Parts: sequence; structure tokens; C-alpha cells
Amino acid sequence: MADHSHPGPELLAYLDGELPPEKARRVEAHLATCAACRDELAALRRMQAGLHTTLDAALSQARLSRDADRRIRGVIHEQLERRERRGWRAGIAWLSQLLRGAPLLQFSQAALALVLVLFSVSAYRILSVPVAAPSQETLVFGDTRLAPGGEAALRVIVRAPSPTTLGHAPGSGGESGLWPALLGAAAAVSLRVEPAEATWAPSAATGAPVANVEVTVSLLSESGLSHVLYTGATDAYGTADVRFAVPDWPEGQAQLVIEASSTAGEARLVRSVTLARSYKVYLMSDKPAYRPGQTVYLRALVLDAQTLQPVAGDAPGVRLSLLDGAGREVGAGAISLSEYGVGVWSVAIPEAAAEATYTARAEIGDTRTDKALMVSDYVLPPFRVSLETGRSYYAPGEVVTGTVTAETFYGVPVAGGQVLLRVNGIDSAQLDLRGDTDADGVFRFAFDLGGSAGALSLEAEVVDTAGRAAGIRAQVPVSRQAIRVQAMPESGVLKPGVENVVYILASYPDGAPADVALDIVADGEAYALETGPYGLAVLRLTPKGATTLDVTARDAAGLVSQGAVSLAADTAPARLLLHAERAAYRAGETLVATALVAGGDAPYVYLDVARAGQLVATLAAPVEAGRAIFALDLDPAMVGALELRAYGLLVGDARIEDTRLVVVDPAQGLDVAITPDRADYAPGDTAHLAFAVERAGVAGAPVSALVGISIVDASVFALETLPPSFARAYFLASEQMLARRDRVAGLDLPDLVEAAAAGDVATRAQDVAARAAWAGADVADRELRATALLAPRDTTVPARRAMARGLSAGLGALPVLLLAVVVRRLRVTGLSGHVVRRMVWGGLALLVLMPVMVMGLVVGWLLPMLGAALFFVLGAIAVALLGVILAHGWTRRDGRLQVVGALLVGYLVLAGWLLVLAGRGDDLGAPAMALIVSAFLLLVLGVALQGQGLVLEGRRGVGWATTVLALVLVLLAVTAPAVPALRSELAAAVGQPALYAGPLGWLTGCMAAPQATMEAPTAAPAEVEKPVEVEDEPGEMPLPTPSPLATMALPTEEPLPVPAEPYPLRQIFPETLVWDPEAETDAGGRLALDVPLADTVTAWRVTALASTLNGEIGAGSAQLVVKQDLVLEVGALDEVRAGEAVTLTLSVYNLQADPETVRWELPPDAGYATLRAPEPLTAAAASGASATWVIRPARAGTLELVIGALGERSGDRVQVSLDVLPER
Amino acid sequence: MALLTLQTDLFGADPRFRDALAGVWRRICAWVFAVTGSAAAANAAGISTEDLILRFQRGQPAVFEILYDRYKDYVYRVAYIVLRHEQEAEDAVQETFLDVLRALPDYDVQGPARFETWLYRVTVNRAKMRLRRSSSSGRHIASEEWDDLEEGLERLPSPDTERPEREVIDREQAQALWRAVDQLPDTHRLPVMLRYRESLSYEEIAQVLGIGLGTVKSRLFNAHKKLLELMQQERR
Repeated sequence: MADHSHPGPELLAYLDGELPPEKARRVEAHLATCAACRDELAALRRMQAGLHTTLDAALSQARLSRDADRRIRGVIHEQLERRERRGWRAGIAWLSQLLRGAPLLQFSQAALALVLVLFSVSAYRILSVPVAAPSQETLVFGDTRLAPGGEAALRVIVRAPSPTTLGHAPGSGGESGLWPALLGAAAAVSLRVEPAEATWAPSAATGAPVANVEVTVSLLSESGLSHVLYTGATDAYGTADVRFAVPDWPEGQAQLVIEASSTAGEARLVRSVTLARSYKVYLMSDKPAYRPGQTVYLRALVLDAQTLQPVAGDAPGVRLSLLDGAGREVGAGAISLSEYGVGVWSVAIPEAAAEATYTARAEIGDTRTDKALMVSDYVLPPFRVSLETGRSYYAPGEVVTGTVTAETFYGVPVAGGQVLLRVNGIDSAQLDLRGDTDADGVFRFAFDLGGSAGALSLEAEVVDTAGRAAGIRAQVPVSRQAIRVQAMPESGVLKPGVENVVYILASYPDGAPADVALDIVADGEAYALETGPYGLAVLRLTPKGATTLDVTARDAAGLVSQGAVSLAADTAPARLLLHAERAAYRAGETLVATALVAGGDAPYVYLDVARAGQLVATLAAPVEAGRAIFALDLDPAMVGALELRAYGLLVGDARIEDTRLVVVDPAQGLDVAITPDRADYAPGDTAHLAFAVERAGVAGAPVSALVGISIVDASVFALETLPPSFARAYFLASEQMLARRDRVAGLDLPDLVEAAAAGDVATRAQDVAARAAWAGADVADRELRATALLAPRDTTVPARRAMARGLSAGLGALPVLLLAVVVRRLRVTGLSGHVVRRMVWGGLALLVLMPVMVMGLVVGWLLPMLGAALFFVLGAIAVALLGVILAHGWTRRDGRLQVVGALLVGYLVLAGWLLVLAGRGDDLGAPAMALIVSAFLLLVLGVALQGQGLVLEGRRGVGWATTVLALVLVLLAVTAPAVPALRSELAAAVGQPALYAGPLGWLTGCMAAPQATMEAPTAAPAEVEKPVEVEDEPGEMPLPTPSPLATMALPTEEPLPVPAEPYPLRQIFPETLVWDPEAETDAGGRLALDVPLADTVTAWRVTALASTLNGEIGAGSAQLVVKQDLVLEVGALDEVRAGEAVTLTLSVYNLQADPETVRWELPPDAGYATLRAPEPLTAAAASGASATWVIRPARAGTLELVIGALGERSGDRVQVSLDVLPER
Repeated sequence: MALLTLQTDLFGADPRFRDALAGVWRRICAWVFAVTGSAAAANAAGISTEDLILRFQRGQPAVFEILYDRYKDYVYRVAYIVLRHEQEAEDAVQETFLDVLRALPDYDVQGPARFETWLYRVTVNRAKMRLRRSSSSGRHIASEEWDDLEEGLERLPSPDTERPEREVIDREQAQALWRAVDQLPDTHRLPVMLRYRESLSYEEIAQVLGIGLGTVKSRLFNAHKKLLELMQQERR
């Protein structure tokens, strides 16, 4: 049955397929019958289709706008995050999220929290370990100059510190105070970790030595070489025997690193030292006095001051120079040294030179040695005059007796000479005594002194029978006090409370030692002493303080002197006296020294032994019964002058000390024997000299050596000051000893050095003399003095290292997290594009601003002015900004902002810990530093992005606060190194302004300065040193340049051809006969030298100074006497002038046992006219006679005259040159 | 997503390959989604709305963003249809999603209603609330932006005089129809929109609008009648 009712709304539902099947069938049935409904359905279908199309097309554009989307997203975020923080349900949800692989946001939060908690706890635990008070201090004494290749020592003492050096009140606990203050006392109590050795004992302040402290000494050269010199441990006396060989490095600067390490802590001292050799130079000249125009021949023997070995030729060159009396250089030259350490040089003294004491100077390295040379227009005396008085001193009212003796240099008495003795000083009047010399050449005199006292001046002149004169001067003291007594305490002053040695020196007024018996009363006690021939006695007494000695001296002649000698005393409460048994030792012996201690509480005495300015041994000994005894084995390395300094350390910085000088002889001196082949020679003969060099004291031990030989007219040596054997003592003794050698009469250094070898009773006097001479000598303090407190061993180092690693990782990770969070937020809110655009522009602006800000404002101006304060001001600003961010995030329930704030807080906390750690000296390593620096830059970028993102979201206030925070972070980093506690490599790296300057800063070069200070290695400077050209020879003075090895034997000229005559013509009269500075012996130590003798009738003094490759030194001398039966000497009494008469004296010495009658052989008149010819004469046996010959030279110039004196059995012919002055 | 399409099209020739690849790709995307919570990965992995809701309820609030991304435009369109004002619609969207966020933990995934239906109801309610508020303040007039929607019809073909029956509707007719729909009262207009734009069933429309199924039927029918009437008036 059909349904006749129209379906109406059902029709539409049918069309939409929304009708249940039954109803749909009914509608279909109706439609089959109802055309109207079919039409309606069609209309509806068309309408539906139209609606679909129209609505789709119209609304296809309707989409949520981008801005709205962004906003809604933000709101949803806020809501989501707010929900997360709600109650325990949220917590569980958060945990379950974590378990399922949490999204970035939550992960970062968790990681941050974990990292923060872990690090803060461990950092606090580590850094809150109390800093213990140092319980040990290290004292170092040494030298700032070390000789490469030499032996050296260093005094290292480790002791409990004294309260003054510590600067802490005992029991203060010594905590650093920083951490408890920072983190609260309660936490400090609960978390403190007690280090094992950090206990502070008040009793430690005794200055007691500490044993078993490991000591390491190493040397670092500038070129990066490193050498461990010593490792060892301190002994019971708190000192380590730090002896070492200095490496043979090039001279220059180096760092000496001394490290002391014990269970209580460690100390490290770094001191600059100079590696430099020092030298000793012995200058030898051919003779001591020169006339203008003569040539000075110099020989320099250079030994290393440390090793006393010859300085080889490759050492720095030696510069020799000659200075005139005003110190101006006359000439100079660089010489090279042979393998024996010998170099030679010669220089001519200008003809016009003024009389003065010239100085020959040798310079090598910074060593300078001078030798005085006399330059004067002297006339060699024709014979030797000596003056002796009966006694060397007189008392007023006594009668002075004495003799004047005249003798030729070749040993013949001048008989019949007229003597004039002029005495000055008697009652202000002048007394002239006249007489003749007897056959022995002696004139005896006697005169009364009268009542006068003071110095008596004697002047004797002898005119021989030939009319030639020679003289002498002498001084004789006149004193009421016949015997002078001096007392010299061993240490310069008396040291009360210990046995002092006081040297008593008895001398006559002229300084000669007095052999006397002494009666001394001191402090009520009487002492009886004998001085012996050297006038020296040793008084041992134990003074209570300053003491007056009442002395009575009586000599064998019955002279008696009485007097009082006051001796000052050391007033310090504690005293130390060092007593050395002897003044001179041989190598291989053992030096025994005793330190006597009175007062004070020094438990140990330390003995530093220095040689040639360098510490070579350090000893220590306990004080028992007031004395500490040292024994030092004197090995060959200790040869030379030793400075002994004994000292005790008192509580605090006080020291008691005493010093002594001793000399150590190498036991291997050389003997040089010189054997002429004849007893005497005739002029022009050739002398055959044999030199033999042997080890001293060892017969038949020849040594190959280099010998410097000079043969000089003995008459020149009237001026000699030092015997040649002095050379050896020169090398062994220190300058101080040399300076004091005149302090005690009778002290002779060469003798002393030999005495050490001999050691017999006879030479004990030399020993006492030396000890007396060197008593109380000041010894220079060691230049390297340093004290360091042992920093308590840091037990937290491994933990700190681990923590630093962890912190670095955290500091690397946190910025990445932060950046991730920020970027994600920006992406979610769709702001990333805007922010990036903004950041690009902002970044460009910053690039311009930053260099100006960072450099100009902060570094250039504010930082120097405010320093660390600026850092704290910026820190406060940063904290305030952070507070703004956190507050904003909290009140707006902005989860992401909270995370950013938390990450920032976390980062800053960790960074703070790490900076403090780094400030404590922990090294992070370059990779960790690079990570931290780059992460910091990421952090700054992240914060800036976050700030701009917030601004774009419309939260302008907090947005700009965040942006400014990024800037402040940079400034904080730049200023951090200004804070002392944070100063470290890390702070410097992060705070390097160049990092933030950007390309503009780099381009404009405004970062150049800080970069330069940071980057040490720079390119080598383009500056090229131009070698200075040195002129080898001074142009104005043509100098002879002798071949250094050539033997210069005089005469150098061919003799004039003369007709064969029975008596050879004598025409060459040099002063220096031979100068052979580098004569080498054969392996058997032998050397033969043939010397053609000159025509002078005189004695030649042969001096030989031998040295070996080992630096052994010895000297010898001999005389070569040249004489003939008849000697003619010609002299001009007046100046010779053309056209004027001049009288020439022709003196004849007859050395024969019989008288000789002499006739004259005169040259023909050429260039002169004979006014009066000389008469023939007869010279008595062993006597002289003279005649006069008056001539008138015709013209100025040189007049050569050959004159002969012909006797019956003998004769002589000489050639003389007269310099004839022009006519008036 | 362009990349994803490209990937799947590469082996488009062989359906077996294509399916296998798509499967692997989905697994990768699912994994990426699990780790990162990325919306793109979630969509590419074909994670269902129900799955996302479950994840949200199990404590992954971040997936809400994916839901938001998925539905924001639908929600907006519905709100826009109701309010016919862009700004108002946007605010309604925000309120809607906040409502959803609040209510989602208690949403029953296993329940009878589709999520979309529930979402539209929330949207319509929010929009109506705003509508009431704005009409009370006398602002309820279709905005200019709404009027501008008519421009969207420009891309429809212009009337073809030679073969008028070829097209379902031409541009002029569509414009007329759009104006006619706009003239319908809200009570009728909304069912039409939901039915013929959003393709909701009568049942869903009833749920979304909170009216009876019969009412939906009659309102839609009446709306058609009215539209036909209006269109005829237009033709005259």
C-alpha cells in the first residue's frame, strides 16, 4: 500500500542518506508514484550540490590567522606547563614521562637539577676543606750565578715555621673562611672533610728542623732545556746535602726550581739564576817598569775560577788593554788562548808618554784583572846601593848605626866610592854624613838621634871612582814604644761565653815581627806566651764580654813594652764562633771546623762552604755541649779559597753566624828548575838554559807544561813587587785574602800555600799569620735567599680535578640545553623567523657597539678604575635581571621562561664553582677550555634569542631585560679576571675581550693590544743587528804585532860590521833579553833554550812561569851573570848640544886580581871635535877608574861613537849613541 | 611533508613496494615522534587522534599541540561560521582549546561520540557564548571579512550559456546561494553549514547543536525550502 502523505522533511533526509532503510524504502515507494515529490527531490539535490560547492569555495579561505595561531599556542603552552606543576599528580606524571623518554623540556630540567645538586654538593665538600696552616717552611740559600760545568751546592733547610713568618695566631684553625661565609656555617659543619695532615700544633712554632722532606732541585734554561740537579730528602738536621754539577749549558739566564714536598705539604720556589763562567787571569809582563817608547809584552794565563782549569781557545775571547795613568786606553787587542789558557799581546808605549803608573788590563766575560806597570824615563843604576841600620827602629836618644853598601849587579863591590848620607828628621834639622866605601864597598855610619821621635829619612848617594852615581832612600821609625802589640780576635770581635782564639801580633815600630815573651792579664787571669820569630802568639780565652788585655812584652835584647789592648765583644744575646784548625789545607785532607755556640737555642749549626763565589758544600751538625763539629773532606774540586760560613737559626728570622777563610792547596804545584850551563858568561855569549818542570814535592815526576820565560836585566827588577811564585797563590787565594795579606807582617802567601803542603812546625807561623790576617773577614752573603712556607698538601686535588671535568661538561651542556629550549619555544610560537631577523640586525648593531663597549668602556676605562668592584656591580645587575626573568616566569606561569631562568641560574652557579676551582690553580686543559668558551658564547646567544622572542611575543619588559642580561653576561666574563680569587687561565680565556669584539673589532684592530699580551709567541722582530766592525789596530800607533808563538830573542838586529879586534865591540844593551811567553816543554818536562846574550855586563834575571793543561802552576827563577875582566862604561854628565863642549866619562872596572893599565882607542874626529883627549889610566885590582873626554859635537843628530879601553891582558869596546840637541 | 609525499610517490608504480615503504616510514616517524614529540612526525606516522588523546591523558601534555595543530582550522571555521567575525572567532578558538585542555583528561576515548563531534560542540558553545555577549553589546553584525568570503566564489566558473546543464552551479548562482544562506536565521544556517561544509551527520549535528534529531531534519528541510524560495526570488 502506497503512502499518500508526502514525505516532506523525510525527502531531504532520504537524499542525505540519513533515513533508516525501512523509511527509505517507504520514501522510494512514494516517489515512484508521486511526480511532485520527484520534482522536489530533484530540486533538493540541485540545492545540495550547490550548497556543497558554494560553501566549500567560500569558506576555503577561512583559516586561523598566523598571529592568532601563535598567540593561542602560547596560551596553550602556559596552560600546559601550569598543569604540569600541579601537585603530586603532576609529579607522578612527570616521572612517568621521564621513564618514557621525556621531551626535551623536561629532560633539560631534570638534567639541570641533577647537575646542580651533584656539583654543588661535591664542590662544597671539596672546597670547604679547611686550609690548614702551613706547618713547615723552606729556607734556601745559594747563588744567583752558576758556572756551567762546575760544581755547586744549595743550602735547603726545612723547619717548622716560626710565628713571625707564619703570620697566623696559633689555633686560629687557619680556615680560608670563604666557603663557610659563602655557604653558611651550618652547612660547613655538616659537610666538612678533615684532611689528614691539617692539624695545627702550637708547638710547631719552634723552628725545629723537619726531616724526610723530599727536595728536588732542577734547572730550566730559557731555551726550554730542563735538568734535574738533585733529588733527595732532608736529614735529621732539616737540611739536604744539595750538591750538584751544573750542566754545561750556554751562558745565559735560567730558572732554578726548588721543590720541597712532605706529608705536610709542598713548596715550590723559582728563582732566576745566571749561568756564567768566571775566570781568574794572571797577567805577566816581561818587566815591571818601562820607558816611554818601549814595548810592553804581556802574557795572560786564564783559568776557570771554579775548576782552576785552563780556559781553552773556544771560550770568550780575552781582551787585553793598556791604560795610561789617567785611565785612557793606550792600546787594546783581543787575544785567543792556547790550550794552556795562555794568550800573549804586546803594545808600545808612546814616545811622548808621561811618567805614570800604567795599567795592563785583561777582561774575559765579566772578569777583569789589572796589573800595574811603571812607566818613567828612568836611568838604570850603574850599581846597586843598599842601606842597612843596626836596628829597624829606634827609640829617641839612641845612637843609629848602619852601613851603606855599593855593589855592581854582577857582584863586584864598588870600592872607594864617595858616600853622602843625608839624614832628615832629627829635631827638624838635616844631618849630612860623608865618607868613602872600603874595599868591600861598605860605608859605616853612626849618629845620635837626640830627643826626636817619628820617621827618620835616610838618603844615601854613592859616587864611584868612575864618577857614576847611584842612591837609595830608607825610612827608619823612631818610637818610644819599642814593641807594638796588637790583638785580633778570631771573629773580629770577642764572642762571649765561648773559647775565643785571639791572635797576638808583636812587632817593632817598623812593622818587623818581634820575637818576644808576653805576659798577658785578662779578666784577672794571667797568660804567658812566646811569639816566636814571626811575632805571633795565640791566646785562648773565654771572655765574659768586652775584655782589656794588659800586655807586657819583652824581647831578647831586653826591650820592654807595656800596654793595654781593648777588645770589643759581640753584644748579641746569642753568639756563634767558628774555629778552623788551620788557614791552609792540602787537597785530600779533612778540614775540621768547630762552631762554638753560646746563648740562643739553635739546635743545629749549618756550615755553608763557598768557593769562588759559589756554594760548593753544605754541612749540618747538632750543637752538643755548646759546640758543633764539622769535618769536610777537601776533594780536588774544593781547591782554592774557601769561605766557611757557620750559622744557627733561632726562632723567628734571627740567625747567629760567623765566617772564616781558608785556602786549599791542590797539592800538585809545579817546580821549575832553571839550570844555566855556566856560572857566568861573557857579553855576546850564548847561554844554554835547561828548564825542567816537575811536580812539586815529587822527585822524578816530570810534567809537560807551557812555560812563559822572560829574561830581563836584573837592574830593572829593582822595582819588582811580587815574586813569580806568587802566581800560584794568586789562583788559589780569593781577592779578599790577597787584600789582607799585608795585614800581618810576615805573612807570605806563596809561603803559606807551600806551608799547607809541608805542614811542618816551621811553617806553622805562616798558618797563624794567615789566620790572623783573615780573622773577622766579611764574607758576602749568598745572593739567592728565599723562604717559602710549605703549602699544606692539598688532599682534594684528584677530587677537584674530577669535579673540574664534570663542571666543564656541565658548562658545556647547559648552554646547549638552554639554546635548545629557546629555539624550540621560538619554533612553536612561530617566532623563529622574526627573531632571527631581529637577531641579525641586533647582532650587527652589537658588532658595532661591542668593541666600543667592551674595550673603551670596560677594559680601557672602567676596569682599571674600578677593578674587581666592576665585576661585582655587573654581578648585581645580572642577579637583578635574572630575578626579573624568574619572577616573570613564575607569575605568568610561563614554564619555558622558568626553564630558561633555571638553566641560567644553574649555569652561573656552576660557572662560579669552576672559576673558583680554576682560581685555585687547577689546570683544565685546552679542550675543556675551548668547550667552555664556545658554550658560553652559545649561552649568550640563547639568552639574547630568548629576550628577542619575548619582545616579539609582546612581553617587552622581560624581553628587554633578558636581552640586556645577555650583554651583562659578556661584560661579567670580561671583568672576571680582575677579581683576584677568580684569576686563572680559564677566566682569562672566557674574559678575552677579543672574543666579543666581532669582526669589526678585529678589523679595526682595537683588540690588538690584549691579543698581544695573551699571545706570547710572536714573529721574530725584523730588526737586524748590524755587526759592529772593530778596527784591529789603532791607526795612529803602529804597533809591532809579534807572532804569538815566536820566540823573541834579543838582539833582533844584526850587529854592525866591525873589524876583527881582540875585544869585541859591545853595542847592544837591551833591558829585556828574552820574552818567550809560550815555550812548551817536551813530555819529560824539559825545555832547552839557547840565549844569545846581549852586550850588557850585568846579571840577567830569568823568570819562568809554568802551567799545565790541568791548571797546575809553578814558577822558577835564576840569574845569568855576564861579566868580563875589564868593563868600560861611557856616560855623558851633561846634556849634549851641538856646538857646545860635553864631558864624557869613561869608566873602567877592572875585575882582575891585578891592576891593569888602560889606553884609549878613540874614533876619528867625525861630526865632533875633541877638545881634550882622555888620559891613559891604571885601574887597581877589583876596582874602577875613570877618565874624561871632552868633545864638541858639530851638529844635531845622533852621534855614534865606538870607544875601546885596551889594557895589557884585557880590554873592552863599546858603541854608544849620543843624542845631540840642536844649537842654542 | 612534501618530502614524505615524494618518498611515497617514488615507488608509486608498485603498490607492494609503496605499502612496505610507507609502513617502514610510518614506524620511523612513530619512533621519532616518541622521542621528540614532533607534530610532523606524529602526523606522518599516522598517529590517530584517539591515540594522541590517550598519550595526553597518560602524561604527555606536549601531544596537545599536535591535537591543536590537527584541529585548529576546523575549530576556527566552526567558530567563524557561528560568529562571522574573525577576531571573535580567534578568541573563541583560544577559549575552545583551553576548554578542551581542561576537559581532555576526562574525555572518554572509548565513548560513543566522535572526538570531532565533541570538539565542535565545545566550539559552538564557546562561539555562541561569545555571540550572546557581543549581540548584547550590539556588535553582532557580520563582519567585513565575512562579507569578503564571497570573493572566494570568484574562482567558480562563470555561467556557460551554451551548456548550462554542464555545471552543477555557476558563479552567479553560487553568489546568490551564499547570500541566501547568509540570510538564513542562525538556527537554520548552522545546520546547513555543518552538514554541507563540515559533512556532519544529522546525529552529529544534533549533538553539536544540542538539539533533537527531528529538529535537525526539519530545520535542514525548512532551510532548503527557504533557500529555494530565495533563489527563485533571485531569479525573478
